[in-house]
Amino acid sequence: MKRLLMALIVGLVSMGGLSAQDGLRIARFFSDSFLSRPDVTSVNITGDRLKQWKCNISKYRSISMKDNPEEVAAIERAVKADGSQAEYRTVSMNDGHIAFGFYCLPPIRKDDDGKNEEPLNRLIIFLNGQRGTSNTRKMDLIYIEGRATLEEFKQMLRSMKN
Amino acid sequence: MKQEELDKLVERYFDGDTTLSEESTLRQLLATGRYDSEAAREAMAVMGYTVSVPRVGQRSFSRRKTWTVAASIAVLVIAGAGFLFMNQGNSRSEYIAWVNGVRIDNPARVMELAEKDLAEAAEASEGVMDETSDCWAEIAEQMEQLNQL
Repeated sequence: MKRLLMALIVGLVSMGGLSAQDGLRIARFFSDSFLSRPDVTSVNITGDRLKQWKCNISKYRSISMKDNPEEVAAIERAVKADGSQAEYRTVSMNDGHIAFGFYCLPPIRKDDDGKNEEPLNRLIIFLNGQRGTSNTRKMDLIYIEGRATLEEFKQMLRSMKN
Repeated sequence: MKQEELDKLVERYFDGDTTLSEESTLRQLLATGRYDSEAAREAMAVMGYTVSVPRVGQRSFSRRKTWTVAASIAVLVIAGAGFLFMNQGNSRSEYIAWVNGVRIDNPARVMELAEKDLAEAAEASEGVMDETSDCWAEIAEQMEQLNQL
C-alpha cells in the first residue's frame, strides 16, 4: 500500500511539472531558484497578450545576465547541446563563442495540457557580447514555444526591431 | 446465540454429536470473538482459533487503517487534480518577471521587458539571419537546377 501511495505521489508531482521545455539542457536555467536571483533578469509569459506579437506563440521565457563569464559559459554549453539537435540554426561566432544563435528545435507533439496533438515548435535564441557603447557584456537566453512556423518566428523577430 | 446455548453446542461437539452444519455454525460463532467461557476457549483451542481469531480491537484498527489509506488516496487525488487545474490555469495566463531580485507581475511591464529582449535579439540577428537565408535560398536554387539536368 505504501508503494501505491508513493507511486501516486510521484505520478501527481511529475504530471504537474511536465513541460515541453523539460528534456532540454537549458531547462535548469529556467528553474524558480535561478530566475529569482538578484543578478538575473528573467521574464516568464504564458497568456493571451502574446497574441499582440501577431505570431502563434504560447510561451515566452528569457533570462539575462551581465558580466558573469563562468555562468554564461555553462549556459552557452547547454545552448550548444540543445542546438545540436535543431532543425534550423543560424549562428554567428566571436572569439570562439556564440555571439548570436537562433535554433529551431524539432517540433514536439504534446502541449503542456497534454491534449493538443498538433506539432509544437520550440525556439532558442542566445545572445552574448557587448551591447551599444557600454563595456558591459550581457547575455540573453530566450526560449519560445508555439505553433508558429519557422518563417513566422523569423517574421516576428524582424518586427521587433526598433 | 446466547453463551449457554453455545456452551451446550460445544459440549455436543466434544461428544461427537454435532452435524457438519452445526460444526460450521460453531466455527463461525467462535470466530466472532464474542463468547468467553471455558467451553468456548477449549473449543477455540481445538479448532485452531487461538491464533487466528482476530480480537475486536485488532479488527477495528484494521478497519481504521483501511479508511486512513482510502482517505489519503482521496486527498491526494483531489489535491493532484486541484494542482493540475491550477497549473493549467497558470499556463493559460502568467506574466512574471524578476529584475534585481524584485518580482514584477504587471502584465504590461512584463511584456515590455520581453519586447526589449526581443528587440536586442532582432538587432543582433541583423545581417546574420538574412545572409544565411539568402545562402540557403541560393543553395536550394542550385540544387533544383542540378536536379533538372
